[in-house]
Amino acid sequence: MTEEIRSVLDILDDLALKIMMVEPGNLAVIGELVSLVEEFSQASDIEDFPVILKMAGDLEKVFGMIIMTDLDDSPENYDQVGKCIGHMQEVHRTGGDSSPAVQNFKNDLRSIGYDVPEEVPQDNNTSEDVAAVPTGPPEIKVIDPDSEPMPDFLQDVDLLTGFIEETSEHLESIEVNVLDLEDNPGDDEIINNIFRPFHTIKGVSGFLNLKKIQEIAHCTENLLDDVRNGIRGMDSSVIDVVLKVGDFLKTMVENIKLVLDEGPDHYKNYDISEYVAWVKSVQGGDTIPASTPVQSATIDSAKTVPELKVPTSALAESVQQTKGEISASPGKPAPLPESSLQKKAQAATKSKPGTSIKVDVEKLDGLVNAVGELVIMQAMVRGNPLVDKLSDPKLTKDFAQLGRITSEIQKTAMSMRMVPIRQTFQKMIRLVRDLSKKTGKQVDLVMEGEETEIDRNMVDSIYDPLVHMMRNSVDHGVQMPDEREKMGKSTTGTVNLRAYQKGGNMVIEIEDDGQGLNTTKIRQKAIERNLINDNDKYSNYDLNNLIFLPGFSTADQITDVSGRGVGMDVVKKGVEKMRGKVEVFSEPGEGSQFIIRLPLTLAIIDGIIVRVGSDRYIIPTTAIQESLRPTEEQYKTVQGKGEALLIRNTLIPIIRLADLFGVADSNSNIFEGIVVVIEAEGKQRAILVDELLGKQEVVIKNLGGLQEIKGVAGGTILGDGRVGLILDLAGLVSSSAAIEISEEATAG
Amino acid sequence: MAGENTATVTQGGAKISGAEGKYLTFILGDEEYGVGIMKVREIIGVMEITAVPHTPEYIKGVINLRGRVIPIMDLRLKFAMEEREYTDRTCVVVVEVQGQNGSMQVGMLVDAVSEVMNILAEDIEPPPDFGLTTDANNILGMGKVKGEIKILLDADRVVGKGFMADIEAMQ
Repeated sequence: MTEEIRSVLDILDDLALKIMMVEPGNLAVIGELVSLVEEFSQASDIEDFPVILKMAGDLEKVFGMIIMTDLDDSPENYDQVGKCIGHMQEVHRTGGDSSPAVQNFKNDLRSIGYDVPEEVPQDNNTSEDVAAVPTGPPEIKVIDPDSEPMPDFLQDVDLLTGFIEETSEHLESIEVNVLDLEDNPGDDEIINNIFRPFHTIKGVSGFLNLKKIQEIAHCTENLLDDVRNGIRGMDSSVIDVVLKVGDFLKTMVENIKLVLDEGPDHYKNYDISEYVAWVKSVQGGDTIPASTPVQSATIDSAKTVPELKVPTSALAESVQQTKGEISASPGKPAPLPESSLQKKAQAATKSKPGTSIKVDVEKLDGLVNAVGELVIMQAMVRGNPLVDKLSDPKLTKDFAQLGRITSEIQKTAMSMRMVPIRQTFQKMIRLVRDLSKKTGKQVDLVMEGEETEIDRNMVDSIYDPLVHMMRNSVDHGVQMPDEREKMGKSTTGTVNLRAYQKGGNMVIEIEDDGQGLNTTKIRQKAIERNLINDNDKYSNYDLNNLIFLPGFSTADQITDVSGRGVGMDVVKKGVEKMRGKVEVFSEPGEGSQFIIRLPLTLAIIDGIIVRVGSDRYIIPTTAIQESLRPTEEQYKTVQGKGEALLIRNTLIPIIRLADLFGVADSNSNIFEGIVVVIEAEGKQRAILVDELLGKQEVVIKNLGGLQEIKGVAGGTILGDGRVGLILDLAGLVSSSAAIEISEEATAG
Repeated sequence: MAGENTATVTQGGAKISGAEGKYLTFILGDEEYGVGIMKVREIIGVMEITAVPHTPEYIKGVINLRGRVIPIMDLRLKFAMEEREYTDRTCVVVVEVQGQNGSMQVGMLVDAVSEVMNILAEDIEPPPDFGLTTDANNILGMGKVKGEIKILLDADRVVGKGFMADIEAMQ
């Protein structure tokens, strides 16, 4: 926790950022939010904002109610809370009191079911009128942990770890299939694909003594079995059940993972009774409930729910299970309809996983290293003067062949780290579905290039920026159906999500056919925030890309429905962390297109090799703007010390790499060297080097024990087997600050 | 394993554990040093070293050890001895030591490698007290073999911990 006293604005900004990141079911984040809200009372300038303190009190109660599950732990509610925070920022901006914003704040809080006390504060009985809608999904509740001890499921940690991993995969596949089913209702095969993972989860969780997971998976499986057997139809209520149960299971499995990692203190005893009841009520909706209790002894899992009347479907299922085993021996009569069985068999063969194995990443890295070394060694053997003298055509041919084989091995080794981006993309389907339901917009998500491969290490990092941008496109890009109709567009908006490889980059595009960015407004805002001058001329492209600046954060835009740019600086930061770039193109009224360019892998960097004295360094290509040989006209000194180059009317400070790195034998005459103009941390610098040696893709390696050396990001092995250092430009810019000429001088 | 340093040495009742065992001995100037054989990964000839800026003087730079980048430390400079031209006897002794972030490999530049010898506990004396002039923290003990003294180095200390602190101080 931060000890320092922060200002109201800082806390508000932090709050606005956090609320964007909230995911339902993640109570830890809510906890952080609560402590942030509490921090207001200690803020340095809180006396100036009594209204905000009051608002913070309301917010705190709302978060409290969410934690106590008096309010829904739903994305809709978080969005409303997010809006409220926006109103608070509005109040802050307008300098303390702003009745419309305060009123909006109250209205938004009321809309999620929190009754804001009017002037006379009432007792805390306000929460009572909030009750769960009986037909909707129940909230996730936690029973008092003391009331029931944690079941002992930590006996076999290996199995449990495997279960957690598998179940997460299953749940993902369930989600994808359910969404698929929504478009193709009645496709038995898809129903089977949903049924099977539930069945597996049920079985394994029972074995591992995870009774609650087992029970809820079991009753969902029953419901699906009814659907599968045509007892009831597949409708939206079933889809909702499956999705919500999937979410609930995810929450429970995550908790178990937490217990496994952090210890049993973190165990949460989830209340599943309402979920079970809900699933059953949906199941009972279309089918006649079985009045005769079935002997539960037939299946193991039913034992866990002794009070429960097992519906007929459960029997059917148990029969089917048995059947599944028997059918292995041919000739036995089938008690079930032939067609269903055949389909099951077909599905089984179809979904048979490709022959793949899991490999430790470390082993893979070892392989990649060894292969890299092989390539270099081969070049060295070939370049050996003695070998070179042998002009044997067979040797030449063999060397060529050897070269082909080694480069093939290298390619394969590299590709082993790559995975298709499909999984990440598929999560977007659900996101768009939820968003469009919530906003009442009609959105088609069209995905292309799901097979495009991405470095395994980047999969997690790309998720958050993608979610932000998808939200942005649906929330702010695509208009409401009636609005679209007025503009002569089809009522359904389209969001295209594309991935492809281009020029050594992985490109992800998010394109919507919505209203586009409001460039005029962005310009206004930029002037307001002193980012640009009133009379500066900027192209629309430049203006649009201002939304990635931190000044255009979440806060300002939440109250501004027509604007865009919700947390776009977060996106930019995330992408840049992966050494990527993001930009936006937009046409007012036509839509916007966000383009993310990422390196194919984090292990390889595209760089320019430069020589300084007898040392060689690699400058990452992404940061390079140009390179040139300076002329005397361009060369300026400031106060006789600071050196700079005037390039196209911009004064760019020079970094003499040789001086900074203490290279002795470098040419110190600037006009005989080359400067490479780079941009890092938003600043431009001209790096003076002796020579450009070429462009090469290099594998990034750490320098053994030498870590966090300023100006050096890592090392790589160059073609001759020697180590070359990769420059860390951000570090260079800051470590050159001492010899840097002041910003005022630059501006003058 | 006979190579394990197991026995203890005593001086004035104080015990120093884990000193007996096999040592790789090497020469620095006129002195002979030893390092526990279990720490040694390999011995290689001097190859071209890439200098790394903003590091202590005794860090000569990094080399490519079969695809792995490892730092090279000149023991002469580390022990404040005079720097000398490399000869064909100059070697890099690659040791694996405990650094701050787990184990790491570091190459130690030495004048020449001599031999691997077993030093018994009774032949090891605790490091003598030189006052403030010499950093005896780096020394495990003094081995007496056939009338000669081998200075037994604590590789973890020499190349492990102090090393990172020195680098941090440079940044």
